[in-house]
Amino acid sequence: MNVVVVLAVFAASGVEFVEALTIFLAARSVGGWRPAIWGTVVALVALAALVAAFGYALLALFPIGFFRALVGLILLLFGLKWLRKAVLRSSGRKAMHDEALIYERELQQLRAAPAQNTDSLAFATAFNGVLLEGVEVIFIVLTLGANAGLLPSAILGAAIAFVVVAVAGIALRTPLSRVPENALKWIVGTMLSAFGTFWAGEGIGVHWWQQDVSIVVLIVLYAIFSLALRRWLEPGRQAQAA
Amino acid sequence: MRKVWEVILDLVYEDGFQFFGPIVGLVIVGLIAGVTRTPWLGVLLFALIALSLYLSLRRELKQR
Repeated sequence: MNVVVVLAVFAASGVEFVEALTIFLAARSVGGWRPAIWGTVVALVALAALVAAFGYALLALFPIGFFRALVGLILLLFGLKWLRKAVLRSSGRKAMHDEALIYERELQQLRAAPAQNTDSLAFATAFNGVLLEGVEVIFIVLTLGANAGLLPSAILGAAIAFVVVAVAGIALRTPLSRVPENALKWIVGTMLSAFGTFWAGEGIGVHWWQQDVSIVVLIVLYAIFSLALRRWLEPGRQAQAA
Repeated sequence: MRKVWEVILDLVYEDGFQFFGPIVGLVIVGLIAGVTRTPWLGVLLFALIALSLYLSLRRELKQR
């Protein structure tokens, strides 16, 4: 067992797992547990199948750049859709969600027809996020564990990171459920837009400043920009401008 | 469960700026990335996506 490899893989894959957890929690907050968990499970099965089928050959065969660009674009489009709605609602241009009314309506709709738009969004978001991050973790494990005898150490580092992040996710579940629906949609929209921009950018060849740190910068930029848009859209300000 | 492509088509119908803006932004930045690797490309990408969100909301405002 090589402790240095365990720690290196723990740190590197921990970052990827945190990103996957963020996407999963975002998907759950929009579509509920069921589609988010299904998206995650299907992604994990796909990852297991990929590793079983290709093993080390994955490093050479998988078009990671194209995959990043595609997943990034899909997340970006979903994120912008939610961000736009949240900005319109909070500025008063679109009716705010009445939480209790929406809950009742959602419940009735779910009973009437199980096929829902949010289900597909949540499933696709969780699936894409977990699949992309999972592929990146596999790349980390295979790359760092490529030297003979180091693969078990690399797998152990990734497994510890997975458990630590999963426990943190379970702890975060309750506080997140108390956030109001529109605020949650704004947070989710901001985060998915940031992740989507980052991954799509990486996929087309953008070299981000300080790599994954740029995701935090993008989240802040999207938050500031959407707040500015909200202020610009407030009916009183538009009347003044006219 | 609705198919993912149906959800994506909804996005196109809902607002072209919101859908095609980021794609056009990615194509522009991708073409420039083939020539230069400046870290400012990330800023340009964010600016183009932010512009498409702004245009989408301005269109919404004019329609009301």
